[in-house]
Amino acid sequence: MLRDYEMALIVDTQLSDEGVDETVKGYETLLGEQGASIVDVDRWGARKLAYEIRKRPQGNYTFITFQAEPDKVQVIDRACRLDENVLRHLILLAEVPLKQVSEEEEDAQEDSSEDALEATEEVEADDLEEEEESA
Amino acid sequence: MNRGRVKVCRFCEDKAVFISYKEERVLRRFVTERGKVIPRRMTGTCARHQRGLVRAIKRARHIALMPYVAESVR
Repeated sequence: MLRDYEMALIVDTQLSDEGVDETVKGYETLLGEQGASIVDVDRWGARKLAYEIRKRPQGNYTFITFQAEPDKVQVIDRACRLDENVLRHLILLAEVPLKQVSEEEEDAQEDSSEDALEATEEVEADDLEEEEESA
Repeated sequence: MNRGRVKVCRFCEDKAVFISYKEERVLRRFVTERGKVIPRRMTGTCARHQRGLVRAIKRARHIALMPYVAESVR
C-alpha cells in the first residue's frame, strides 16, 4: 500500500547552485526509480543553520512530499545517509494527508451536523462553520 | 509570564490539528532563549498539543531549523 511521506533534505551549499540542483534532481529521479510519485517539491533555498553541521554554517533546504511503498523508504534513507552532499535529512510519514485534506474536513463537519437531531441544532452547527470560515 | 490568569492553549484556539516542524516562527515562542522547551504550566498549552509541539520542536532541531542549545543570548 502506498503511503504519504515527506522528506527534508539539507544539501551542502559548498556545492555550486547547479550542484545543489543536481543533487535534488538526483533524489527526484531516485524516488521515481523506487516507484514513488512525487506530489510536491518545496525548495526553501539556502538558509542559515541553527547550529553548524560538519562545520557548515548554512545549508540548502528542500522538502519533497511523495507517495511510496514503505519498504522503498529504506532505500531512499540509505542513499541520503551515504551521500556526502546531504548534510542532514529527515523522512517522515506526512503530517497531513496529502490529498483530500479539504474533503475530510467537510466530512467531519457533516458528521457533527448529523449528530444534531433537531433542526435548530443543525442551524447552530452551520453558524459555527461560517464563523470558522470567516476566521 | 502572566500568572494568575487562566491561559488557554493557543493551538486549541486556532483549532490546530497538528503542529508543523517547519514553522519555526511558531515553535520559537515555546522555547526559551536558550532553546529549552517552556513547560506547559507557563504557556497554558493543553497536554495533547504540548506533545505535538515537543515532537515538532525535536524534528525542527534535527534539521537545524532550531538550536538544541543556543549559546549566545540574543
